[in-house]
Amino acid sequence: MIKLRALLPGAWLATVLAMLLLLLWQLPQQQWRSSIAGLLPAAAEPWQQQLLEQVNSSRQISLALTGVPIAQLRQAASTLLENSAEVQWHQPGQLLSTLQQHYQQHQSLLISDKAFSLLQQADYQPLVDAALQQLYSPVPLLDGALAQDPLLLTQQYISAQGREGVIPKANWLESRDGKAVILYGEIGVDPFDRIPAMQLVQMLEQQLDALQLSQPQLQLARSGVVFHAVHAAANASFEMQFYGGMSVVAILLLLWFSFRSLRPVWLATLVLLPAVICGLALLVLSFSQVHVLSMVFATTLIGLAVDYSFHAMLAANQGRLVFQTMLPSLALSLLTTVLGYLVLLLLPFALLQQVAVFMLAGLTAAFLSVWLWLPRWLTPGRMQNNRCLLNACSSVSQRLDKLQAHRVWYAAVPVAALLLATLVVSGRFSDDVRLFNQSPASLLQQEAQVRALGAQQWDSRFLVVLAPDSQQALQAEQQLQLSLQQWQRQGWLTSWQSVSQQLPSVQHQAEGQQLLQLAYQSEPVRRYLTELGLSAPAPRSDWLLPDSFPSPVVQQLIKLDNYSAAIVLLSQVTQVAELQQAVQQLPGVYMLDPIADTNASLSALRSQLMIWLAVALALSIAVLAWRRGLKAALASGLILLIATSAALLVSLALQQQLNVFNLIAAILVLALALDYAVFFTSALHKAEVIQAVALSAATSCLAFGMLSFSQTPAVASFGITVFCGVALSALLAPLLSVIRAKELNSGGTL
Amino acid sequence: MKRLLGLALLLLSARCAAADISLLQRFAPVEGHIQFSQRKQLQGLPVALQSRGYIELKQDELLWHTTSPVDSQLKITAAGVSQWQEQQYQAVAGSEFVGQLMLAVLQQQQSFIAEYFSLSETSADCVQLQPSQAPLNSLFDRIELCGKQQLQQISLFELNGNQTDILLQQGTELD
Repeated sequence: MIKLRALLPGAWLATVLAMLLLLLWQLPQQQWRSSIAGLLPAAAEPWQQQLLEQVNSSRQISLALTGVPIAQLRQAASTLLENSAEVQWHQPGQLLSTLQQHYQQHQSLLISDKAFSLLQQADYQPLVDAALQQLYSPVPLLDGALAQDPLLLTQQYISAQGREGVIPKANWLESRDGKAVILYGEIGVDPFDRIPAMQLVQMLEQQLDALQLSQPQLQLARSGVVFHAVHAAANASFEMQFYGGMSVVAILLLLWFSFRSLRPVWLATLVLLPAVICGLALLVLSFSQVHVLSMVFATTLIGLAVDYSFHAMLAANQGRLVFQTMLPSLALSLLTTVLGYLVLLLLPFALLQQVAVFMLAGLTAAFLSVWLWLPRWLTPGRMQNNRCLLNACSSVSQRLDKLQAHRVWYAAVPVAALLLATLVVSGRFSDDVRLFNQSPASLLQQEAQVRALGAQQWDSRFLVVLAPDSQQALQAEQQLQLSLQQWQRQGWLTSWQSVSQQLPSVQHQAEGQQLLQLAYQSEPVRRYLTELGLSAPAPRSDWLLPDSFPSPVVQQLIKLDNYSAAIVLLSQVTQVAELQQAVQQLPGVYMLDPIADTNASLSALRSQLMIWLAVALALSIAVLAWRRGLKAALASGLILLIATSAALLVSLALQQQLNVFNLIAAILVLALALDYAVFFTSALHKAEVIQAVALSAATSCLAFGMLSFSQTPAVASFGITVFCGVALSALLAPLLSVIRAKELNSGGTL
Repeated sequence: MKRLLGLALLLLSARCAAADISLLQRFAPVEGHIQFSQRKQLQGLPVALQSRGYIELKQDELLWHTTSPVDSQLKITAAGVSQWQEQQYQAVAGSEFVGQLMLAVLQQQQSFIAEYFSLSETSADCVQLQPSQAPLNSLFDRIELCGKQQLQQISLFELNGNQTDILLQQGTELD
């Protein structure tokens, strides 16, 4: 047994080295993500999840050029196209030309809604009048129009197409007033794949900078998910390095102030390094794609791991016996913290799971390093404590000795009740997923500018028509057009884009052919044909089909496992609730709103977190009751409640609204505060516990306080709550020492 | 030596372009109110379609009003062609270049013509415009402008065999 015990430090060293090698091997291949949406709980229905995976406009980008005369805009656009091969730029003029050629080969199959309606009503004279107007205008006709489609219905249908506000040119769009050129295309990389996306944006920005330099008056507006994602990733990466670095520097300074020696620095590093290595190794082993934001939150490991080293250093400095007496409390602290992070592991939120895995592995590694290595590297009496700090801690300890337990109870109970009641009454939550990534105002402004030009006009919400196959989906979507027109007249939405507007269902095309044959037999049309010397063409059956249709709109017709889905893109929906209600009345038609659905998921997650917060608190009290007795456990519970509630109330006052990240922070406050409660209810020497907790709280507040300055609202929320909670816990936890603890005699060993 | 040759070729091509455009200078730009008669020969139609009307030409805007045998109005600007329908002008998609062409030809916009056409003289009174760029070269085979001091006839020869002759003088009719 002794031999095995002696081997443990070496075995632990081997484990850490193995983890390091694994990390060095895996890290270069690791994909770092910055998109929040992909980490949230899945959509309710499997077909919705499948659809959302396929409907992905995140690779589209648009660039709007304005500010100089049209000739210079075209020159700038041409230069950009030549030098940005990494983007697959669309050719709208070519697309339109190809589409028109396709229609030309299938004339009379495509009939506008108005003409179709006239055919159904057998009102043929307006059709004849329109055909004559077309014939006598100087605008060229489609090839073979008179032979295939003497009423020129397809020609008129094509004439009515085209976006408002923009004119498709060969390689770009131009605004009708000639003041803007818009390039739009698709990138070949995933915008949330950090390194390739950053490289692509960097190359693009270089070209845009060069353009700007050659034409200072030129104004550029960018639109596309990749710009926002790269900004968010760069921001998160910078903050991770910055705040992590600042934390390390702050901790080092604090150690130097407390001990006037580099030895504590080395000892803290001995605990911290294995913690980071093991945490990171287990994280990359467990997840194929690690989110950058989880690393931002995981900077808290620095605070927690160093906290362990403080307790251990101060205890080991006083001899092996004191160290062995301290260990059970450290183990208890680890246990309560692990329980807190285990709560996160059970939630269906990948980001939290990643944080939990990192922290669980890291904290366990920190504990093992403390237990197995620290005593070997610190001779008792070797460290000199800062006299001032020691005297201050002793002074606080003496003052606490004079405090009576019942006064603590009389103050804590009403304060806890008041804070909890205030929180329950005044607590307001925001579940907006846009909190996760905050794009800069300039990017949002450019996005709005591009949208205003009409090139990027679709809302995030859209309609889905589900049917057993694509033709039935098209037919159902065709029938939806009447409802869409009615909603447009009511002002519920501005416009929409659907597949059937360009590609009618076969059934609709066949019906059109039958109606045309009836029209050709009518008096007005026979007279028209006779005057022109034309004969009525035979009905067509070479239908327009999705597989051979040369338009990107067919991408809105999607094959799912058991269904086909036709997507209707919407623009400027103003009456969301009314539209939702109307859609619910239509069988097989659904409205999907990814942002609203994500927000709803976030709201559900928040509710779960609140329940689990209560569960974690109850678990902690139960564990403390087992090790410290019921009185100490209840007192600790009160202190935890006060610290957590007060932290949330301060956050509410500063932010006006709470969010899910405040609750995640509250769980962490719980974990840290428990650590302090464990030590203050132990039989350890009070002055040293005060010193260790003070040092720990100071380092944690430094780390979390810096997060409060993050530009990402989610991270800032997290930082504010943890800072307030930890500070308050450190101030209140010493009061627990006046409650006599009953610690089971475990011999001080594990 | 090579440099001198290159320079000479450059000067020669510039001189040719200048000579091309100068062919148009015989026609004074059309303006104001002009009567027109149009004869349109379409593939598949045994008889040509004849129509009459007037053009109102202002700066950068042309009103094409056919009065006989149908009443229809087209507004032509550099942005394209719009047709009068249901009490408003509605854009005719894909007609931007045709609109620009009509304005350029009637107003003698040399920069547009020089960019999209190569010019040659077919007779003493006529200049031929050969489209050299998309999309015009996918619609038209050639365009002929005829007249003595003023533009009197525009003939549009489409690639599909359709031909449109437009006479620009009051009282003049085609057979």
